[in-house]
Amino acid sequence: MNARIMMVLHSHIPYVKRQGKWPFGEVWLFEAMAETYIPLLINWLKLCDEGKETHITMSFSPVLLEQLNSKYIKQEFVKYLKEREAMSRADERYYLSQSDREFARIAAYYANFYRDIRRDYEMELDRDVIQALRFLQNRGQLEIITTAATHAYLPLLDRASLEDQVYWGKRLYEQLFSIEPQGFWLPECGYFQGIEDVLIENGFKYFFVDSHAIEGGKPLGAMSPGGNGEEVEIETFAATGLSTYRPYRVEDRDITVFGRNSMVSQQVWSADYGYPGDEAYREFHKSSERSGFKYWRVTNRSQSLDKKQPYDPDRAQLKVKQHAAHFVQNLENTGKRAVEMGFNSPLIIGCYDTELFGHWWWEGINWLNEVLNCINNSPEIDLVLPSQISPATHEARVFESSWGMGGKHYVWENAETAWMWDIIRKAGEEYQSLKGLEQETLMGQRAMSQAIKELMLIQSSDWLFMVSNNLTRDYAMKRFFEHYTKLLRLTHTVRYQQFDDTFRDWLRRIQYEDDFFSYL
Amino acid sequence: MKVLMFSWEYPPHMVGGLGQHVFDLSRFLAAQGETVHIITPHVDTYPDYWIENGVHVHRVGLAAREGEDFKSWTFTFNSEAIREAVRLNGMVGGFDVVHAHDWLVAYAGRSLAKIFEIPLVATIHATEHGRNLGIHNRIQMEINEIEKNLALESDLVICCSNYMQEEVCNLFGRARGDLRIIPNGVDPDLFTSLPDEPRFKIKEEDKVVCFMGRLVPEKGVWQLIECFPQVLEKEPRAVLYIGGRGPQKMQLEKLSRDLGIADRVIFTGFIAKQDRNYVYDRAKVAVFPSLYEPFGIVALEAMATYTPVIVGDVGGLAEIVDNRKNGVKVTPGNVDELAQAIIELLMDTEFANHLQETGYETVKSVYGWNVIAQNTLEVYREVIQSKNRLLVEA
Repeated sequence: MNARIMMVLHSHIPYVKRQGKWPFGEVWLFEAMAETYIPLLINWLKLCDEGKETHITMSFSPVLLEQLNSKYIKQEFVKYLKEREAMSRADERYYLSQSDREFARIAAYYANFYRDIRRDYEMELDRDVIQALRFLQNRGQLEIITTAATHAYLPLLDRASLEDQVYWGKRLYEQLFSIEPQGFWLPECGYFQGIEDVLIENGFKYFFVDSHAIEGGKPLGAMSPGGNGEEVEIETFAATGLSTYRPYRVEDRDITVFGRNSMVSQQVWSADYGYPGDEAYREFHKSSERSGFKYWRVTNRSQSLDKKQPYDPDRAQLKVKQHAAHFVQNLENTGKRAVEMGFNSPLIIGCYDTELFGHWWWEGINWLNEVLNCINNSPEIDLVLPSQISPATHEARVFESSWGMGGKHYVWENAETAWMWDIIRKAGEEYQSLKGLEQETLMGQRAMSQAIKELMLIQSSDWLFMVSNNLTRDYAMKRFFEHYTKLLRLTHTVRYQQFDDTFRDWLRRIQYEDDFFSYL
Repeated sequence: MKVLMFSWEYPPHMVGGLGQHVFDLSRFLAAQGETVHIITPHVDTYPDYWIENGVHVHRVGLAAREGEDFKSWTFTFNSEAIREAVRLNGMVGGFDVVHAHDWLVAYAGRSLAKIFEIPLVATIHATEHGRNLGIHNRIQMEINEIEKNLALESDLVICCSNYMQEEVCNLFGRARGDLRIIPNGVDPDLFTSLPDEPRFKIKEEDKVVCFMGRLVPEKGVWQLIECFPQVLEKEPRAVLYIGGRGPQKMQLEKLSRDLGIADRVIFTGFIAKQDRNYVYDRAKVAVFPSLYEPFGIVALEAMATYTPVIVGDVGGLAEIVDNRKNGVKVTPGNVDELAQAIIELLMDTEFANHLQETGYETVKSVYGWNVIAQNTLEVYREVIQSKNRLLVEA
């Protein structure tokens, strides 16, 4: 039997709408839309037209979907694309005036890119990303799953908040896709024993974990860009004799767990020997001081940024074809070996952050498209969706784990973030202390439904990650403290029923500012 | 006017001059009829709330401590301060202004002001860059970043001297027009009470030269001890009293032993207020040969006790002292010049008496707390007015 390949892409951008534009805030969302989400969708719609199989499992964080669906974001995004196009045209003129034809050509390449993306977004997608997702899902090309409402790191969260995160993650999905979600993406693959019960209660049929959670052994290590250079003790998990080549039923529970295949994940992710580090690919870390565009290729990873050579898209495209062929070849070989080991139609699961493709790894979009084409043509392997997998026959006990550095909770819980967990816990208690009380006034009800939004925004794993890694730290801390202050203002006002005009006006303003889950 | 202040230091928790500053500013504001609430860390055996000199003092969180998890403690304190502020704001019916002192309370000040739409005033007493003569490691970088964002997000920033104003402009890029200079103040009444029984006895015939402050390199105590043999050559009865503690103490003691003047240099260690007053009472001259000094409150304190001062010609000290008019300035780090200045003031009684009078006059006229509280109120009014204007326009 053929090996089956399950590609799982997880997409998330924190809530940034009306929370700063540039250099921190909405620009993160716009970059991911322009460089990743829209190019992927356009490719998949094309594959669908050509009668090919896409068969990708996509997870979207509810806060991301809400932002993609927001009228305000749609308008601002189009503005952003126009600005980028104009800016790259200005760069092109500048380089022509300097008689630098090579850089002028790259500038023109960017200008065309933004022009095309805008055309695709407005004409092909009608500014409606959700509609395109729905279409692809209905055609059986994508299987879309959900995750925690604001992408909270679940293993360390209090029970009530955990339940809310899962419940609202499901509700929002139903709102947008009109069906019940079957799968749940655990943010950062963060798992602990007991979380499956919350998933089962909400009707979920499956979830994903990292390899070592199933197989034991040494975790893969740092899966996310960044890292603060500290030594982390990497725990070695007891070898279980189980394999990610097959799905498992969680021990004594009626839910399926899929384990990520370490080989296919590393091939793409690893900074050291993954494809994105190839010398021909565009260098992510060096930007033009004039305009912010990236004009260079990786060249040589061990050399400093001032030694980078200009980027050549054609040359990069050749590498894309080679790397895609290599990857698919590898899948075929891995599949064959697994069959030899006794796995009948083995399962190979690759899990990635969606934004890796396009945003971090510029050529990743084309690479993925090549890979899909190659698999479509391969007689040995097939793409598969979770819903096509027959019920698991084997049981597994899953280790507490994540896909972060060290394999457990270190990236989100360490000396830098201990105080944040203290506040997250207090915020949860604050909300829970009022949750059960009947609010007789409309204002009280509105305040409480805003309070749970603020609570969930505090819980976003992003703030912990940024503080841990010292990336845009002040932005993260500012957001963290502001949502906490908003929550306290709301709960304090509700507790003492101090609803005056000032509060009413303020509430209206923050409902506008922190505006998601509007049906809540 | 209803004022909410956040401060890491407040008596009895005093590390640098910040605690004294907030203590004096708040009680003089209260004396002028303003409502002042201070939120500061918990101190063991002190009540969570009391009214002191008309000021509402609220203590929250855990007692302040320095150590490895200091940063973590600081942010937890900020969250507790926010919680208390939310409660108080409801209780007083809305504050008119939030005033944050230094980076340790930056996030409490910024969040509260933003979410409750109250104007924010920040006093930047010193900077991490200045304190460390540059930014050298990750934690200093983080503090520098927090200071910068506090300076940029406040409606107006108060600095204590021209020198600090320059520093805040240059380091953080805040426009000069958004900075207000209000010097720190001194209350001469706090320097009059003497101990019944001093911890150490100063001999009648001793000619006392004194220094007060933390024993850290930027204060120039090293140079002061180094110049002292020259002073003793001219005036064998001279004794140097060094009041205060700090990381450099051992090296400084060794230096005085190496110079063979250990019997003429007295390290008092931590010095209680009354003992300090006692030293000033007996001192012929007070010396503050700093290499970095954003303001230099100690010089004013000495002046308030009728003690002639010699200061390093640097930072805020240079602005307080008008050379040979109300004190003497020396080039920072110049040992010979420092020795000469001390000898002159020990020998020339007439000049010393003149500086006593003029120094005291300076304190009274420029650095009196009534004047400073008035000027601070002006800044509050300014931010409130411009906020109101913005609201009307919106």
